Amino acid sequence: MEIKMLDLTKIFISKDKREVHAVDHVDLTIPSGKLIGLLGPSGCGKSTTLYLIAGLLRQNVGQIYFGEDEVSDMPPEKRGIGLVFQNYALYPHMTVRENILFPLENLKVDKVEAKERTIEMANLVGLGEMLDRKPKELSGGQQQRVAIARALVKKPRVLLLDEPLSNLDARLRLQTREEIKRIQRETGITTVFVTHDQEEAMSISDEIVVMKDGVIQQMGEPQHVYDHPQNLFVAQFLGTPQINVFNGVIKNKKIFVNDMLISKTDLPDQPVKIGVRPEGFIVDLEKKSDFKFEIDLVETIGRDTTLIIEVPGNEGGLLDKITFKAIVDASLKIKAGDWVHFNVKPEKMHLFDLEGKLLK
Amino acid sequence: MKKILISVLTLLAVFVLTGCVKMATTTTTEPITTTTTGEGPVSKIVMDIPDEEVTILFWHIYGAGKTALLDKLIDEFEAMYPNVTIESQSQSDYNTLREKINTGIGVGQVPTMALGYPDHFAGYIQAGAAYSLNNFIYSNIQYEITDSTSTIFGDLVDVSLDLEDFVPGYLAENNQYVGGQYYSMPYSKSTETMAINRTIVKNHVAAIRAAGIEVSDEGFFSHTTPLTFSQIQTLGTILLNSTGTTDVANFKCGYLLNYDSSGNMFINMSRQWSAPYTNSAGDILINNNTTKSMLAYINAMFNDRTFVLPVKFGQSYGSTNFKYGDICMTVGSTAGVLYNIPSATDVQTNLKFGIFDVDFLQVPQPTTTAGQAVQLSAGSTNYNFTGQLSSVQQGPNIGIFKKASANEKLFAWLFIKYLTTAENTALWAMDTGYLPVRLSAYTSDVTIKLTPTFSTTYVNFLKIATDYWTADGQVDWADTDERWDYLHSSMVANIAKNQALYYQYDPAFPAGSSSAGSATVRVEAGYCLENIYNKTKTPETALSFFLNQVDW
Amino acid sequence: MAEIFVKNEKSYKAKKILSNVLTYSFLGVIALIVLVPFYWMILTSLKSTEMIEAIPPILFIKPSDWQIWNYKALFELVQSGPRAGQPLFPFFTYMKNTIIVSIITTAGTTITTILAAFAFARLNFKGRDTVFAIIIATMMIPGEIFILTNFLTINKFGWYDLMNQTFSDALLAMTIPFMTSVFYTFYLRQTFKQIPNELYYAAKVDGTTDFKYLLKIMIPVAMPTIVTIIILNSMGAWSAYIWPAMVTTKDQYRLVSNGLRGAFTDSGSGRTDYGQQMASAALVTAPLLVVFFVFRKQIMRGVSRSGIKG
Repeated sequence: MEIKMLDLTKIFISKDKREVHAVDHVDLTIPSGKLIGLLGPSGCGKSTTLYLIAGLLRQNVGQIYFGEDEVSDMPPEKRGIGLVFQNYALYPHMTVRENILFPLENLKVDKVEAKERTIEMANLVGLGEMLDRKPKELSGGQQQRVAIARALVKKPRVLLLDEPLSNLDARLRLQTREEIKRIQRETGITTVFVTHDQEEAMSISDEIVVMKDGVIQQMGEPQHVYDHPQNLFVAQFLGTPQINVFNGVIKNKKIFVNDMLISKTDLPDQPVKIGVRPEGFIVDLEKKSDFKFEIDLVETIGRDTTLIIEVPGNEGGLLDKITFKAIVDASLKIKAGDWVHFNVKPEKMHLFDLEGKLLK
Repeated sequence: MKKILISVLTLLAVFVLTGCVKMATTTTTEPITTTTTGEGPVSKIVMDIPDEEVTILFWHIYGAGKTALLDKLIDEFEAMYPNVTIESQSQSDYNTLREKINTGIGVGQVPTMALGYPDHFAGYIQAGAAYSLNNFIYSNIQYEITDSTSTIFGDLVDVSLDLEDFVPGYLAENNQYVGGQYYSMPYSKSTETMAINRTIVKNHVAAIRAAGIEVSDEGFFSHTTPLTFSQIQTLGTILLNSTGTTDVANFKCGYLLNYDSSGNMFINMSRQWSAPYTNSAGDILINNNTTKSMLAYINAMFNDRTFVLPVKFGQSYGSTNFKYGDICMTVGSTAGVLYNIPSATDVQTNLKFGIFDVDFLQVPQPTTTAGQAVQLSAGSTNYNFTGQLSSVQQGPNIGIFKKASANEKLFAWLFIKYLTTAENTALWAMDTGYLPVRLSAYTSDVTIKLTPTFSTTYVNFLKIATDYWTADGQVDWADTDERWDYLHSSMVANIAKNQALYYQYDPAFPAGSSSAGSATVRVEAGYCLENIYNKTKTPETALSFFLNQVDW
Repeated sequence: MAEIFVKNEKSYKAKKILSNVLTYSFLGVIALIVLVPFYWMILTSLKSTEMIEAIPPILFIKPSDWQIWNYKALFELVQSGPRAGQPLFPFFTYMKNTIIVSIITTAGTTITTILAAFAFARLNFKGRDTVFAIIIATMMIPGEIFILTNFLTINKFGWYDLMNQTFSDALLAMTIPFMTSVFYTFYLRQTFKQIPNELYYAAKVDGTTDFKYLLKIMIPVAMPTIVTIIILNSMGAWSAYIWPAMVTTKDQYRLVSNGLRGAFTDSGSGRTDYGQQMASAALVTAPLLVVFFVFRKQIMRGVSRSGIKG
């Protein structure tokens, strides 16, 4: 089921009576059968968008379509959605079985069928053995799987997950992530997954949507968005360690940072922000490159070495003061205090104007 | 036509209420109420008794099962007036009863008539809810009973009441209110009496006589003469054990005379000393030298164990320790007389003198003729003071509320009259331990059935004790003679009859803006003496504390 | 090494025993404090007047000396007179009234409390917080002040007609003014507030209405609190004294608390037959004990108020 949002806007009135555009003229189409990660920093409007889709919030402007059906004015229970919350929101007084059965009771599904579907769902999420336990007798991951089963049991058109992994510890988070991926594959249900964790989003999603201040910044396959950020925000938001950003300038088709030549370009002369992914540096062993720094700290993990370089700020030169990271081959045996010359991989370098827009 | 005539006449009756007949020419709209009893023969107006169906709501506090006699009287009254129904309802206790009436006055929900203490009625009067009974007492109307189903068909019933026949002390209490009007009539009255351990007295008869106190060989057998405080103190020198504990071998007790009610003790002694206490206007007058002298006297008596209060033994009443032989004598309510009699049901090991006989006397009194002046100093001064005879009267009265209709009030009044006929008040007295409110009850020769096998007149009831005393206790009654069961009640009735000559009342008033109500003052008066007894306060500080509590 | 371990083990054990001894003596003392008045009631109910007056007090009575008469007397009938055949002390009538009033008051209070708490905790309407603040502020007014206004109200409703009050009038008068409780509303609202919003959203998505959500989710989740409210309220109703005495006109409408007060006091001497009074008090307490033992688990859970896991 394809989800289409047209000009969707949600305005909240804050305590000091200001209007806050939590979701601002969003046009978005979520393709059928895909798992979409809705990603952004907290307060970016991703959860609001999810609640608008769910119908728990009512938009001020815009429409929402599930396939051909307009659901803009439908109450949540009519939309055919399943919703999973960060804190699971299981009914604490009910057993696993009763929790999963609850939506079916409300839909007045035939009792025998409801029972079968409950067991089927419990098996799907791997909790067939635990039907008679109470939520507090389960681990966090198990509780979240119950929540998913409860969301899916009524065969919704859309599955919505609101930060479903945030309350889990690291190991359970990885497990459950895989579980969600598997369940989504098996059921083929259109799924929207809200998270602030870019790594999680990138690893699980078919496509990601990056949001900031209620506005969609970019949408696409995770690797594609990573490789081709549309703006500085997206470039900075995706990737660990973060992309390094230098203030630079283009002069005569050459890119300089603090008078150091970095690369060449076809762009006209202008001041630029240069984003370089940590893995985009190549150590110039011949020391011909202009782009050189003294290394402050070296961290080696496995075959990768992270060089940490602190550059004191200087007027009109580099970004006021920057600490940047470069990931290089560990076999180079670079030590702190060494001077290293760098070359930059062109595909790992992105040029933005001073507003953060990608320069092409 | 007859009905109209009756209602016109009934209307007249409201206006014409004096002893001398004023005919309907009067235009006064207020009921004329006067306290003059009228001289000479009074011409009566005769009219038919109203035959309208009337329900009278009578509020009291008698619990279920204790109302058998009341129910019987109600039944008889309803048979006399078949158009009247009396709904007798218990409101569980006096506080609830008073609270419900006080709250109900504001919304017009009050019974037709109710039982109450004088301070309750003072409050109802202040709220404008009580009905002056003078309207009936001095009425010159006679009703003819025209209902042939009535048990008194054809009789003429007087509305008026002969006050002369009532115990004067009771009347004084019930017309102490504004304008000297009667807002209530005495109903269940009792007084205090003094019980004496006969076994102890019998063993000191010679010494008591030597001290100039009259006593029979068998004990104190007089119901006419009270002991004086001076004599009480003399008895103390004979009957008290110097160590303060009971000396069984020498028939001495640790404490001489207990007062059950410290409130009554304060108030009655104030009257005996002529010490100002309160007045009907609600003024608190205790801050005077006579009261201070009295408290110093009481304190001295406490100190040498002549007087004692139940708090000494952690009790509310002295009866238990009296039975145990810790106390020689005890002053308490006539209604609780039998609690002082030791019996086989007591825990026998506690009875230091075993099951002993008990005599009763009037409560101690000051010397009324020229006696020795009061001397107050520490030590062994013999206090003998000239004062007034006084004894307490207690127990509820009965009154009618304004809110009721004219007919309701009329029948409520007739019911009060019926409850207090000589015969019924005597019956009530013998059945409950209260005292008759009418003098003629003491000479009533109507036979009353007390138990299925025992009937007596009130005269004969009184005679049980006098016969016993005359025979110096040597009566030849069989063990099964039921007179034994009524001996103590009869003794007390005889004493009360004499004591009734000097009943005084405690002025009743509701709480006002500057002082507490009379009921609170009484409670605080009791605490004052308890504070002195417990030595938590000196007589002076106890009095100023008392004053602080009641005078704002 | 092993010796030290054993030694430590020993001192640990000693400490453990000591702490157990202290704990259990403390609990024992508390239990005694709780049980003594109860024992005293039963003891007094088995004493004669003389035994009650005895000094020093009798602390134990042999079964052969038990004055079962006190209990029998409660069920005696009036021997003669117009009331012959009726019970001397209408124990069963009083009990029946008390039970009916307790049930009605408690049911009423629980329902209004749940609805009000739900409205204040969950529903959004204009002026909600202001209204709630005003209602909470009324908690500062002492209850006695309401007696008069409540009295005026029930009188206006015609439930306190001295001549014609019926049993249903009396029931309405006794129960209606006490069918709400600001404190319980506040208490339950706080519990409702602790229930995460997501539970409400989840239920919405699962297709429940507000009312069904209240019924199916909130009430079961807040059940420990509600049980506490039911217990406290029925205890209050059971022992209510002043109001029921105020608004009932006839003895047969009264509650057992009122009956216990007046019935055993001799109106003349002012003395109370404590033996009979305690016997009837024991009989009044008995149903509460039965309720406690039957619902022990629920009551304990209610009192310890297990939290709601988010």
